[in-house]
Amino acid sequence: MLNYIARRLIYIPLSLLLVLCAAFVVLRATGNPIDIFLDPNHTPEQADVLTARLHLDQPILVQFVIYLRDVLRGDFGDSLQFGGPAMPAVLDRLGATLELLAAALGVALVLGIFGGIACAVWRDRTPDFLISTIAIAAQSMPSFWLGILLIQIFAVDLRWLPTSGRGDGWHLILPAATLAAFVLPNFVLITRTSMLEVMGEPFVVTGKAKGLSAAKLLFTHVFPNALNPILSFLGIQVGRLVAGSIVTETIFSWPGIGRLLIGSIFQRDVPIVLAGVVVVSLFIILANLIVDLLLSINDPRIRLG
Amino acid sequence: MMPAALSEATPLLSVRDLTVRFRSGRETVTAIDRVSFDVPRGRVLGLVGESGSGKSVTALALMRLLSPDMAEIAGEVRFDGRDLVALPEGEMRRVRGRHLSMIFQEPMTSLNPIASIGNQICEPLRLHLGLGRKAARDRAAELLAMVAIPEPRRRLDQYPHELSGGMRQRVVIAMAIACEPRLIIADEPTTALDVTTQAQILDLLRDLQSRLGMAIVMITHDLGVVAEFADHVQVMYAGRGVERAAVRDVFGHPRHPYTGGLLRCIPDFDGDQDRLVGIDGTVPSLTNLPPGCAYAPRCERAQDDCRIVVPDLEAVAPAHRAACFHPLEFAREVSP
Amino acid sequence: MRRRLFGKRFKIVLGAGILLCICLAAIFAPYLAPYDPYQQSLVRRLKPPAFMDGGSLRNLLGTDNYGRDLLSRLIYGSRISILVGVASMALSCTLGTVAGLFAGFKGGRVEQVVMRFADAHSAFPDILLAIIMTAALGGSALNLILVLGISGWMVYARLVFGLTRSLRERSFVEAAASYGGSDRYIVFRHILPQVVPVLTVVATLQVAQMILQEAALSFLGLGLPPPAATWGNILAEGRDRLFGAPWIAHTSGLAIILVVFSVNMLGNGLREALDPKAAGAGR
Repeated sequence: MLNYIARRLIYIPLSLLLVLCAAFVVLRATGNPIDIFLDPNHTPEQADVLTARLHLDQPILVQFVIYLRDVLRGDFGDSLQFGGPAMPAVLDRLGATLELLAAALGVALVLGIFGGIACAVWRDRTPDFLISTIAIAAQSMPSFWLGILLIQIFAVDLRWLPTSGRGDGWHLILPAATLAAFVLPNFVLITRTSMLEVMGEPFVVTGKAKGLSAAKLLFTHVFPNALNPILSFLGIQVGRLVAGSIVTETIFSWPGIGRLLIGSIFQRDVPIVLAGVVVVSLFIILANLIVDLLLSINDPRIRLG
Repeated sequence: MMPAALSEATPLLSVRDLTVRFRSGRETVTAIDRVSFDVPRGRVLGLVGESGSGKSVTALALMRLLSPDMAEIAGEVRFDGRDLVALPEGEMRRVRGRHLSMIFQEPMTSLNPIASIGNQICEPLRLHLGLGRKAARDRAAELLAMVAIPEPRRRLDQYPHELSGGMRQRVVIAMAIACEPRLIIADEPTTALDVTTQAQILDLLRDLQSRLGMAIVMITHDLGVVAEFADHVQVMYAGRGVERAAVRDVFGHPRHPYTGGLLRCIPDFDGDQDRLVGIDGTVPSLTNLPPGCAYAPRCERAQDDCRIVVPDLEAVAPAHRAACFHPLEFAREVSP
Repeated sequence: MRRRLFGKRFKIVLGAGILLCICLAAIFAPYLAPYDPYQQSLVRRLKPPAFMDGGSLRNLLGTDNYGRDLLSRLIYGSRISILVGVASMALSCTLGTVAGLFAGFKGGRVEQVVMRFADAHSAFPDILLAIIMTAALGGSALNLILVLGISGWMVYARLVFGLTRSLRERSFVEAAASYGGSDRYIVFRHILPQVVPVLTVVATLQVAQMILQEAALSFLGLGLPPPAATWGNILAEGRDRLFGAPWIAHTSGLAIILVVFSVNMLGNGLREALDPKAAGAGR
């Protein structure tokens, strides 16, 4: 078990290094960093300060090492919008994003798994046909338009829910529903597929031959085995979920990291952008690590193998 | 335990005209056609045939493990006085694993890969015997000892992938005998194992059978296993029973030409082959059976009547039945 | 077998038919569009579509906040969507196929590096790269194509890698190698022809994803900057006018759905036609 975790932990610095390299190449190596980091109307003094700060007069490799050192210290520079260091400004928004992600993921997982199980149990009958047809159709639905439709219906026309912003629980409903709908169809379909696959396994017949009831068989033998592909899929979906949350936060003016990032691009606030991208990447890496842990808890072949 | 009306003379399992039809799309395929046999208490019946003869379907039908969406079962399966075919599913569940259990062919896939051995053996104990967690675990360890698994306590917490094929099959057997059922259906229990392990598992089964007094339906394509193990034999061909008698009668003087053919190929047997090389031709497809006797196209004794009418399984001698219009002579010696 | 709504031929014909119409509209946009998509008209601001109260036949789908004709903007917007969708797919497909062939052929350490890199990359959404690139270089069609193209290679790499690996072990490739066929010969003569049907299906379906992504990035302001006529931009403008002029958001939303739906239709139809095994899988 420990061995397994250790092996997974090695991937964290590697993945993060990948992100940092990509950011460095784009920000420093593709054009003139002074144009990227500063306003077009910057003064020569500002340019000098930046050159000193980023060590732009040094060779590119030295710059890269200094850049890595600064990032590891959590020093991304000062935000142009907020004046203070970029990292705390980003972390300040983390709570809102996590709230949205947790709500959406919870809804998507619960509905997706139950929907998929229902499809598998009533395979090729009406419930399966309805649920999986809706799921396949929903995959073509752009989430940003869905969000706008929801605002139109529930906020503008019916006036039941607020259009945007964060406040009491009512504010969370529409953004969470939009984000959940973005990943829900995939969870339904993967659950359906993997449940059906496990249902065809011989050990399910063994369980039935022991005299287990259909429900007990489903929840003690079939589902735990079907959970593996679902969990692996969840790992892949975390990235999509984060991408979706950036869109959702923008639609609903949800004050999370995603909206901060998008806003900062228009303010040319590069330190915030970089810090935000690193935080989001770390979140994705950690989420994948948690998924791997869950996988190994569920499956002794991974834990012991 | 058993109703007074059922004397020792009544067979434990009495199958009459068991018929299984599979629906696939608009077509219906008859996989088992009016098969009948008896299994007396504590005895072993060998169910023999090539792959595709309907042995395994018979086993699944007896256990009612075929999905009712796909398979239609007719006939009567009287087990301990009750007709399993007509039993409501809820009651059938109380029979499965309690009085009637099954050993499967593939020990690699017939165990849940992510549940511990202990939990899988405890399941029927807790379900049918109502044992508590602790008691079930103790009993499971005893069962593992009974099937000759070393260090049974430690094995309880292991997972199937940590055991060898032979060990897994022992676990499957331990699960099957957990509630001391009256009948075990063993569907090719040794086919997936290597030759040495096969012999060990058969010895184990025979030992358990005599100790626990269970009856066994041993499904196999291996006449050697039947000769060693069974009291009675039912030979199946293309979903129909073609010969039924005591082992020594079938082996001593087979009456159905197909059985005769099977026995002639014994020297070619190497135990793990699922095809019989001694008889020309192949088993006909169930979707495309000839109108008369299904064996007629391969049979050297076939006459015109064989190709028109399906012969019934009729007595050719006391306690010896064969489904053949032109059976082999009684005295005919089978050349070894 | 799952019940199917339509046959594969119906799907291919319908999907390809709608797509052909949209492509023709994109190509002949200057002839088809009733107005210049950038021509503002302050007197004709926020006019509803012809089928709504207060609409007129002058602007069939109404006008936006600056009085620009929405139908014309949507027609011109299809150019960006299709260009970015197809070009980024082509870039992904090329990158992925090369990487997959390389990993499958070389095996060993190369395989490990390429495939682990693909795994690591799959965890990260393309939006992060888009954010950095737009922050650094600004939004343009070329950047969109680069971002989406670089972010989509992993599917192809896995697919081609898997097929190459299994094909390499098959006898005809071994035979070709043994009589001295060069790697290049083997790739072009034996492996690519086998891979192409599956790739076609994946590539078609990916165009739909790319179009969705492009619209999402434009919507966020990471695409072509306004006033460029892209569907995502129109939708973003419409978001702020939901109260008074909901048609702005919904016409562009419907346009996106129509394209994505027809590409998916075509892709699924092709999958059933080219890869009968996968068709039963239900995904």
